Amino acid sequence: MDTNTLTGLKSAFQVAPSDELAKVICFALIESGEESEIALYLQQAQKTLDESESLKLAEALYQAELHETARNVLSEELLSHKILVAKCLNESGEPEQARKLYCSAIEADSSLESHALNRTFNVEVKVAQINNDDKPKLKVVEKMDLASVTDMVRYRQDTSDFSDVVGLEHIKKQISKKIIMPFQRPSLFQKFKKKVGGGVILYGPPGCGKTLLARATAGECKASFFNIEISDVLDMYIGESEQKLHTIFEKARSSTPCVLFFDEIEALAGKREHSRNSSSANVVSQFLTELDGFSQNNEGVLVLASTNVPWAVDAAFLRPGRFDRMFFVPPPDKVARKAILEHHIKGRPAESNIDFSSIASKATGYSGADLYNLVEMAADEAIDESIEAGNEVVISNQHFKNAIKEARSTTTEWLTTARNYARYANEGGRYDEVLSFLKKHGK
Amino acid sequence: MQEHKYTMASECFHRGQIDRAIDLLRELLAEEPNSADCHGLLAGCLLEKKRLYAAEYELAIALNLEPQNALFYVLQARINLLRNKTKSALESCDEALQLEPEYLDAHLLKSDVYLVFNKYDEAKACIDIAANLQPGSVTVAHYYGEYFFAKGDIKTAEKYAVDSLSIDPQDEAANILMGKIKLRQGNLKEAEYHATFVIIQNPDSNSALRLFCDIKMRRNIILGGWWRFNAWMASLSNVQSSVVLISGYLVFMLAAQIFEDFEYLTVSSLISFAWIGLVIYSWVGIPMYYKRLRKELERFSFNPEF
Ligand SMILES: Nc1ncnc2c1ncn2[C@@H]1O[C@H](COP(=O)(O)OP(=O)(O)O)[C@@H](O)[C@H]1O
Ligand SMILES: [Mg+2]
Repeated sequence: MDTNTLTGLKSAFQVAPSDELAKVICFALIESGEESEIALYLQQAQKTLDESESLKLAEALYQAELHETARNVLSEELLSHKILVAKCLNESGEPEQARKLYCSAIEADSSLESHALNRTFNVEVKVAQINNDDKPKLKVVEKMDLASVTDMVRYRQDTSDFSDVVGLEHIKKQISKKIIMPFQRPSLFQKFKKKVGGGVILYGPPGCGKTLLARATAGECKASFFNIEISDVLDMYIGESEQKLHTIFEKARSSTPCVLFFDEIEALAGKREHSRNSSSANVVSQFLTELDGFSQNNEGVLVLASTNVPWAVDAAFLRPGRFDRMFFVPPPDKVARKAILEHHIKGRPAESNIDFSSIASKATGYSGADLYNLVEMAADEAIDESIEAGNEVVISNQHFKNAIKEARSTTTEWLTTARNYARYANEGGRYDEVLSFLKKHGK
Repeated sequence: MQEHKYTMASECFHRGQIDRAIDLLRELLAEEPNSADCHGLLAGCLLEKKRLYAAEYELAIALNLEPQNALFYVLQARINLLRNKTKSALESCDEALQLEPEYLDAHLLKSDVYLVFNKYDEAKACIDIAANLQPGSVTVAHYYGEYFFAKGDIKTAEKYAVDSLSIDPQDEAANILMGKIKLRQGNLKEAEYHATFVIIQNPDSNSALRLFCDIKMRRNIILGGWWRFNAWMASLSNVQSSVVLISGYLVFMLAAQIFEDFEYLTVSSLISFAWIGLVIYSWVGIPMYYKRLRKELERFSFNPEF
């Protein structure tokens, strides 16, 4: 808007002062950067401003350091205004009141909370107790929120639970006993002086559901779930990775109860000779410090990690107090394979008499991902056939028979390597589960 | 740019991409013929490919350019050992150690040489020095194992093999040693496991293939012979296999001629057929061998109920 128009508006207002016009002038003033004049029109304009308009106006005033004026536009009662009111109060020398207001805001809507604001208002968030009957909404954050690096927070609405993971009953039971229960009955565990949280590693051949299981675990324990992309932590300038890691843990500690999930952790916690993008020694030691929680309290923070190469993880990470529980996620057995096939065929056009049992028994050593792949291949065949035939051909036994000729199992190689580790480098019984699996199911 | 190329070549070498490393080094040497490091690394690559004469040639250039490099002497010792020139090998080791008294590889190589002519005490002395230089190393533990194995003390050898495997379960040499021990103990299944474990990781490992063939021989001498013959054929380069076929041709023709002169006509024509058979076999047999090998390498098998 040019100055002429603005002057025009102003003189029009002199002649006939209306509320609507005052509002228009206010926004025009923001646009031309003359916020200081707004005060003249504000009183009249205010009558017509709705919630979001007044927030917008106040934000501009706040940016122009007109805190007092901004404060007048806002209403403490409105949830969306609360944080900004608190900020204004903080600026005009009333930190105590600001803090109270901020706390009431995040109590009403915890998604408003951020680490930066916690610091601004000097707020320490206590471990929240979860009530069983009053389940908090699951909040999945794909990436990390950081004080310095913004725009990394993304909320994920779709969530999974154990019903999405087929089979693996044994390990699901273990997880619910040792991980989920402590989250759901914190007081019980506190009474018995048991810690809630800690570190858990899921390991096993690729594609057998470690990532799937970790996500489902988060869904089951109704806690905040932070999925840390290791590349986000590592692809940084020197020294920044450590800082980032620290911020991630700080965030986790301030939003307990929560699950921090590090997928393919060997990249971050790897021995030097194994890691592809060699994480510097500094990152490793920072990670260890955060896990130990000497200076901080890690109560209520569960650190979940997964890896295909547990032997590449630095032994320092596996000491008590760090990742001291390891769960082996084995390849699916015949029954589980059948169930996984059925799970993945759901919702696709298929004949009802497909003999999944015989397909499953032919697919020895297939991982869940291999089976998914098999279903995809069968579907592709059916599609090709449909196009050729000119009408829809549903997936049939024959498609699977053709697909399995080309599919391959990917777990045996892992098991071959793992066997050597389990037999010769089984420190502290780390790979006992692998050994007993091999003994039970190997030839 | 040059430096970058050299680093790349050395990285390829360490990752086992020898051919790529050789190509890079040859390019580099075309631009900069007087780089001792390049000649040395090229010698190392050629040694890996068992092209001993070419390696020796490159190494001679490297040593000429830079006579004070201990690494070059170790390479020389290795070449000499492979060509059964044990005495020169020992001298090269000493040369290297004079330049760098704490050179681990030189000490270990020396023990290898001593083991060849059964000088056990001297060999052990060398390994002891190495063990002091680098306690807790896989290689040292594996050398102790080899030493006891050579001495015939299988039990102690096994202890060291377990030791070295527990330091690094994926170590190639340690797995082969364990395989040899198991074979000696008559536990063929375990021996096979370790041999194939190495072959899966490194299909070019000659010592693993040899162990594998030895195991097959123990199972069935004829089949074992087949494996060994094929492994040998497969390890030949194109030039080498042509030479083998041509010399085979000459030998067969000569034999056929001799039998014909003595009027054993049927035998002579059989020999000619055998020659044709060999040629055809060299063509179809090797892919067959690889196919069988791949099947053998599917090491871990589930029991049928799984
Ligand atoms: N137990 C399972 N039930 C259902 N699907 C599975 C299972 N295991 C694996 N899958 C399929 O394989 C894919 C890869 O699994 P994922 O959890 O990423 O493997 P990992 O993290 O162990 O490498 C999943 O997205 C899913 O489609
Ligand atoms: Mg995964």
